[in-house]
Amino acid sequence: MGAKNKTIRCLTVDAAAQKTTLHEISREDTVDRFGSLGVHFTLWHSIWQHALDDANNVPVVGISTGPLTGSGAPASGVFSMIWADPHTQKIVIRRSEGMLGSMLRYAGVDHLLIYGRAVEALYLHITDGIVSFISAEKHRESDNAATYEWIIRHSDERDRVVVSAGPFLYAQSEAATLLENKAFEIGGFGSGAIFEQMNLKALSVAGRGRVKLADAQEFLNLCIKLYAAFPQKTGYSASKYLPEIGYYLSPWKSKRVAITPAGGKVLLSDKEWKNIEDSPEKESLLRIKELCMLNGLYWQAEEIDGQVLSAASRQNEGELLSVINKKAQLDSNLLENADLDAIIFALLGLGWADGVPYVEPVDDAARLLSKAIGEPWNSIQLTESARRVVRINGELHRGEGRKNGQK
Amino acid sequence: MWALSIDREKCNGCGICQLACSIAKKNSAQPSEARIRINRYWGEFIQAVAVCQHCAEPACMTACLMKTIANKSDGYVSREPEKCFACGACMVMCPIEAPVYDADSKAVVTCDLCGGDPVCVKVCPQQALQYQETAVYSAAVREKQGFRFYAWQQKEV
Repeated sequence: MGAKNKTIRCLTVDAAAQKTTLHEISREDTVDRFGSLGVHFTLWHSIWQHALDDANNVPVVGISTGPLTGSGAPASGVFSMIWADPHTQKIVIRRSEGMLGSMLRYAGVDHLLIYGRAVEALYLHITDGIVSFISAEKHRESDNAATYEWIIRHSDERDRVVVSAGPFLYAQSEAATLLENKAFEIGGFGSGAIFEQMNLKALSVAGRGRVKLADAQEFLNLCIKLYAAFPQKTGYSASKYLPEIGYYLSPWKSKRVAITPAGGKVLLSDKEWKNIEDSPEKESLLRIKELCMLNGLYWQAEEIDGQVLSAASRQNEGELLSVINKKAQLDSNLLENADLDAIIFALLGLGWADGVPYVEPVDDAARLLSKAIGEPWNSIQLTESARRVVRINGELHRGEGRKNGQK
Repeated sequence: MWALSIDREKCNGCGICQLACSIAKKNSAQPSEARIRINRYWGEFIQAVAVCQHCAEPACMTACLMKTIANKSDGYVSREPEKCFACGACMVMCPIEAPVYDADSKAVVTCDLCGGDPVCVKVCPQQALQYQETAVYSAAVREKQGFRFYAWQQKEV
């Protein structure tokens, strides 16, 4: 058995003062707040509320990985982001996929917390845990592609992952998102706006480190079994593979799928939110969004489907209010109705999609976790952890967001 | 003679081989030191797998100051990492940047085909990586080229 990961390394970055601190949190301290979201909640209670909210509307964004993010398991490129929406100050939690989470772990960071507004536009570079700040004042209006090209041209690390906001001013838009390596949207709706609020033009990460595995050989055997199951499960022949199918499985960038931890209600996909700016239903849709946030309901990304936008456009506030009126009932049924399997996967840092070859999904996830961290986990324990996280999530939303930042 | 073949039309650059390799060789997920790697050029949206090709006339072998690299008759370029002092000459000479510095053994290493049972082949969901006899591989390439030529002829007609 190899070394165990007993601590979670949390890097906090004060963008205003350009200072960084590395905290190490024992995994035992986060037992009740398990996985990627659990770490967010732990930090929320220990750092954010006590330290940052007193500082009056300091913008904050957290990026957290799960214990399997970057481990090499099928679709283990999942991480979550949390921030206070610049427009409503309500807490937004988004599960996302891409290379960022994995690369953060290879750079020696399990959780990244950035807060404060920089005096001038900044590039934030993390290289093997070392943070550097570079002025991006001349590139405020650069688009994502130009930002990416500039950073890569001035970097020695060819595998550097670049997450950038669009041209400032555009990024203020409620629908602005972050783009990773010119290729993937991450963070989703509003993540671009929080970057602009922090005067953060781009975050780039390069790491040559490792994600330790307690029982690497058994972990690998399990992964081989799961990867081998993919062609049988999907029925695809190799000749019919589309390039994007790799995203289902890639440990770097898994396929974006729907996850609705709280209300079980999928409203709009990211792409559709992007279209809101030009939508005749813009005002109505934004009101729906605000109502969701006020009531702890989530909107979440799902497979890109043109049908969903039209369905969502027809959804009116009245329908949503009737959902909200049933909130008490919803809350009591929440734990039974919530898609706990999907939450478990998000907590661990795994993708959840039909294309991923988990034969017994939660059991397979528990086996992977056991081999990775060297502790016995089973599906019952994982399900209980997911229930606890849903409960904490509910409490967080009942708090209606940031203490001093509410509108 | 057996060889690791790459069908670049099937490879989508997912990177699973790279991580599986690092787990097999280093007991941890560390893609930066994997012996097979995906070179990503997002500017052009190109992702390509790079791994030691076990060349018939290896440039790395010529460059090695310590003579730790040998070209065996079975088509396998072997290394003796314990004699390597990581000068990096082989890394410079290799046209596909296949040699990798391994921080654990403090030596430059390349793909050793996992002793004839490559883990990257087992995990590749696209079946882009194959470990097969060179005769089988070259027959497949000839067949593919033949079909292409036939299609081109038909188009010309």
